[in-house]
Amino acid sequence: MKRQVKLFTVLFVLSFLTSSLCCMELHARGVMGACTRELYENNTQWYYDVSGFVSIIRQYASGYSEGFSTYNPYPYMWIDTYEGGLDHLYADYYEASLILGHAGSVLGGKTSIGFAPNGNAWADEVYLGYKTYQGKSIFTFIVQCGILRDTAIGYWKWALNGAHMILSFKSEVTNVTSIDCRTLAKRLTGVYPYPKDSVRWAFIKTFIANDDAHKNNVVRIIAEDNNVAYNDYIDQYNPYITVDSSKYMQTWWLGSDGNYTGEGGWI
Amino acid sequence: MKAKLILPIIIIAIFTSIVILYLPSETLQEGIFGLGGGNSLLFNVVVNTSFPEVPENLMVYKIIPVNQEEANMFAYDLARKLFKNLIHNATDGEVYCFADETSELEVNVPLGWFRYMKRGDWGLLRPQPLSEEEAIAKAKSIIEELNLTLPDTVISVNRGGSATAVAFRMRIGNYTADTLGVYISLGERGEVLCIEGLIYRFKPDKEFKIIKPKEAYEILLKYIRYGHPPKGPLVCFVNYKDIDNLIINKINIRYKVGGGYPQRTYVFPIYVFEGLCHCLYTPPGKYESFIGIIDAVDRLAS
Repeated sequence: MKRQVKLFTVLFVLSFLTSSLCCMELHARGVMGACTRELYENNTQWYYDVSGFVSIIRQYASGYSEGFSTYNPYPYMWIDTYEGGLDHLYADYYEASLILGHAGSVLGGKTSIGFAPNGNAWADEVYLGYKTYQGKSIFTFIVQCGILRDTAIGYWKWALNGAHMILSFKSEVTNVTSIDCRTLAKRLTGVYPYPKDSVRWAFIKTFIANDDAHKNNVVRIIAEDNNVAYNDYIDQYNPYITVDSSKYMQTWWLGSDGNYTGEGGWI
Repeated sequence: MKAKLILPIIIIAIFTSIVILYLPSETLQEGIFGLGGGNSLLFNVVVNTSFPEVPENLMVYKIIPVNQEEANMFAYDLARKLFKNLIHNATDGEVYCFADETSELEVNVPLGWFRYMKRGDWGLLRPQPLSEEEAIAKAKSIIEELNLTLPDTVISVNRGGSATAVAFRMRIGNYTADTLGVYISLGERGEVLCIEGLIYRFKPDKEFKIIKPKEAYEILLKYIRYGHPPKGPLVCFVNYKDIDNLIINKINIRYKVGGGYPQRTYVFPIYVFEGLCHCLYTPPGKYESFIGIIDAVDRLAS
């Protein structure tokens, strides 16, 4: 009888452990892609690129079983719930989010994500990560011009509330190939033929190259700390990092003679 | 009476906006394209140089696409020279990727482009860069070793930052090509951090009328002010917006690869305006490197 009890206990514990491990493995991550309506109407290729990004991440990044892409995004998708938005259902609901489009308005150096013709999400309306209401965001890619220009950094650094990185641009962006978002997804996941890259390098390598489409781009990344900036992969990260007021920033560009140049530090 | 007038005006305005918004229009994926908007305020411009003398017409060159066999040969030959112990070797027919523990090579056939670079972190600053002479000598020996030497190039060196860069830009007639060539970035001890280049071949296509430098300058100012028109020909790119002070130090003609999607189709002349810019809201005294590119081909006359 005692043996049966022991066996039952062992089995119970084992099944409990297995199910919790499975839950950890199967925790559904999600990815969101948005192409602004203005851009979509200019050329549908842009939307295919964004939906391709979502599809590649869903298929090949570990645990990303949820996905959503749209060609008519609205500011509320990135604006925090406490600022009147619904980001907990969109950009902050998914671990990875990407928006492609023209940047929004600038006011006193503060920039905004553009959703033309649907409006803007200002830097100080965006709060992403587990410290926010139902937030899960880890990475957000903002493929728009000049979002992380010098004067806007002071606003954007507060957007990281558990999210690890905002990856965007200091300069105007040239993105003529309309395959960049898919290439980014392939680099992030190591989809054939690309070797898998860290999130930071995947973004830098995709958007800075010595070809005519990418040579003038200046990439800028704001990270919670240098550890996540250097070591995070799209599906390998610690979801609950410590959040504090200091952030880590890197800027990369091609020098006038084609050299990759980077600078970085705490902000 | 007033209310009676306002209502029809509003209806007409809404109707007109809808018609304008949905008018069918041709989108040219030629020339230059950016994702920028316009400046929100007026800006000052100082031109510290004179407008260059330019010919009436210039040749536009047609790119001869690299075929699969050539691409294969180029990619595998370069990989064989660069790597001893490959840990990654893959292609989808358009992009070739190779990597060992420390470096990687990517050859992108549709974009006609290759990049060999050190993997992982580079270090952000190199306090003791190579001298200019050392860098050129080292870079020359590398391109000879890799059989990447081009017949007629302009060599320039950029020191500082993460690397010392040596650029071998192709010369087309009297003009330099903007990205056609080989670019090598070297570390402090001369180690290779990055080699990039375009692998296009091209042939003369047709002579085109060139817009005058002053017209190009006016287009530049217009685009800084208003951004790209949402629909219609795209002829300009500037790397910063919200400029309140612009100093132009150099104006010249160069050649640029472009046109077509995603495969490039032409090598065509552009005006390049270089200098410094101060953007709205940036701290006083801080300037960014400015570059403005304007399509030099008079597409209306051609």
